Amino acid sequence: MTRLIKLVLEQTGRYEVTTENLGRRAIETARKLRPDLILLDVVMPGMLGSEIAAQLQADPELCAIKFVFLTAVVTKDEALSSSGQIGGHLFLAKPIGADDLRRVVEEQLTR
Amino acid sequence: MLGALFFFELAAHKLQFGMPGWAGMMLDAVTLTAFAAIVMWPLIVVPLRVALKAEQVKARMILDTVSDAIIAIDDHGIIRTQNRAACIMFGVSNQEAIGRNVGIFVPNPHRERLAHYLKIYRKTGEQNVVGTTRQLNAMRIDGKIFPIEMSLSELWAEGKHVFIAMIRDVSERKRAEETLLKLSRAVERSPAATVITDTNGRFEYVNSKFLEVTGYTQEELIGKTPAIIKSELTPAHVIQDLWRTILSGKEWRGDMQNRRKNGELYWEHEIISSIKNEQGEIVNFIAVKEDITERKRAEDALQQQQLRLLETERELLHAYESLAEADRLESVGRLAAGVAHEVKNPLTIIRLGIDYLSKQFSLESNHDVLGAIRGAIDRADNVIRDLLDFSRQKPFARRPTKVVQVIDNALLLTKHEIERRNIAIVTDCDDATLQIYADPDRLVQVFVNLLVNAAQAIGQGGSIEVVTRLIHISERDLERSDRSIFVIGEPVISVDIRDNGPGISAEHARKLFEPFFTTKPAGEGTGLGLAVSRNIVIMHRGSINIANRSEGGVSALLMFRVARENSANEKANTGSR
Repeated sequence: MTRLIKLVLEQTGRYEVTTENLGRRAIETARKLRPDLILLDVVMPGMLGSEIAAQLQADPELCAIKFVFLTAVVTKDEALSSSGQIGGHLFLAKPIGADDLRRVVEEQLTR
Repeated sequence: MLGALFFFELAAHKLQFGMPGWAGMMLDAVTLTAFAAIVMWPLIVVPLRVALKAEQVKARMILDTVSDAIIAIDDHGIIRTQNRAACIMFGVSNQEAIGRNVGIFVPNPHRERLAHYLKIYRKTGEQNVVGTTRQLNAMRIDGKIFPIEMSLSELWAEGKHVFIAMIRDVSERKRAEETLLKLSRAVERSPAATVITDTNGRFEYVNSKFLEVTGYTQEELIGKTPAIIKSELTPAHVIQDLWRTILSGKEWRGDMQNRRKNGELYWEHEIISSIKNEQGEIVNFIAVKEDITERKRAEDALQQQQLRLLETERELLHAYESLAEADRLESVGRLAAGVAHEVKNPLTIIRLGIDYLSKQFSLESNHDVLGAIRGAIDRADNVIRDLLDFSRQKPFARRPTKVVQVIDNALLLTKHEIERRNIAIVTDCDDATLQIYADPDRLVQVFVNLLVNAAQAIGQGGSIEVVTRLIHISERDLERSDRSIFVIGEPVISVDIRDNGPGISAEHARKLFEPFFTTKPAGEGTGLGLAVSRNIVIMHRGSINIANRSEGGVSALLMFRVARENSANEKANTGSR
């Protein structure tokens, strides 16, 4: 899935996307790359997206990075009804469409 | 004799010679008369004697054929004569009895008293027994004592005072009397109210238990019939059957609810039979009654308890099922979460992939194909969504719920869908208090599902009617219900959602409740709706039936048992009559 997200986003020609499939390496990678936006899968083998988010926020260097959750457990309707936020953070409900993905990324980066 | 006469005649002739003539003639006359008398005597006396003897024999015959004992005694009590019946009664022969004192037939202390009376009589001529009939004990020669009835008369014979005793052995009668007394005491004291009537049903005899039970006095019952205690609760056909049975000479048994004088009702088990005379004609009816009010009360209480037990059993079963359900849900929940991830990730890849490819290779011209793929992804997504929804619910828990509230709720949830199609909604319920045991959050899903189906079937315009009723199931109702759940006569709440859409084809009707079966176009609806709805209805122990209406359109008919509060009210209403 990370591959396709990268493909879809880079198709716009506007973003550079780095993928990290191992949760525990995410923080390191974030530190190294200092991205503008991180897309976090909520459930990953061995780690929860929310944990990574917590770590990011706790780190003064990384706390400014925006992130968006990708979740399988919330339905589209629920996502719509709560204006796409869980606990103050934005999320995208799977299966994600390319349009929604690009739109949200654009919105976050231009804020 | 004749010889002597002849000699006397000769002697007389000899004397004649020295006598005057007239003396001789007188002598002749005398001898002639004497001669005549001697010759004639037997001719007179013998017939007289014979006649007398005949009379005696006749008298004897009469005495001996009489069945009562007749004993003639003198004023000392000595037996002069007795008849054959007396001999048989006392076990002696005439020879043995005559000359003995009658006291041998009288046991003490009466023997002494009798001697005493006779003594007084001899002294004073006073007696007070003649002309009376007395009951006393007599004694056979073998010592056996038996009761007798005796009447005394007197006559004079051969210059002596003779008493004649007429004696009747009343042992049989006494025995019959005693038995009668015993029986009537038994009936009188019986703990069963007993009543004897004539053939018209009028009271002839009532025992004290009957008076006690009914509260009437004997005087109040004279001339009346048992109709006086009948209550109007005894159906007429029971009374008719009763009369028919006893008039044909047979015994009738049954339970009847009667009324005391004070108005109180009570239950009796009655056994009524007829009493016939020797000709076989019915002369009386006798009713023996047993108070079974307590028994009936106990029976009713037992029945109530049984019903309550059944209810409790049912509820226990439900509680168990809810627990099992919760358990299942938990498993499903975990399963659902797992499935959600496992399926949605590939779906995401497919979607993103399609979007990417369509842009990359200008596939937008392949509109149909892309649309189909995207639609398929949505459908798969919806299936997962339904599964997640289903698994996230609270455990199934029922409580008394007003049906109209659930329906109103469902209408609210589907308001948008219905209004945008300009469909008219009519709700019809005559009793807003009707309740069923339901999990309202789940039940509302069923109504929403059916309403949305109806709306989608109609398309535009048209109307949907929601009719709610409390019914008692009839055979016809069972055809659109489930025989394994309901029985005829059961109070049930039915909700009918009727639309005037195009109806369902026979082929579709069969598959309606199959999971994933849908008549909707791709992308609209998963086909899980009715399957899930049916499951929810089943969990509520109800029934759902969808059929075409004769006037066109579809009727979705749901039936649920009434919540007990409702049925308790019902019982109270009918019982107060």
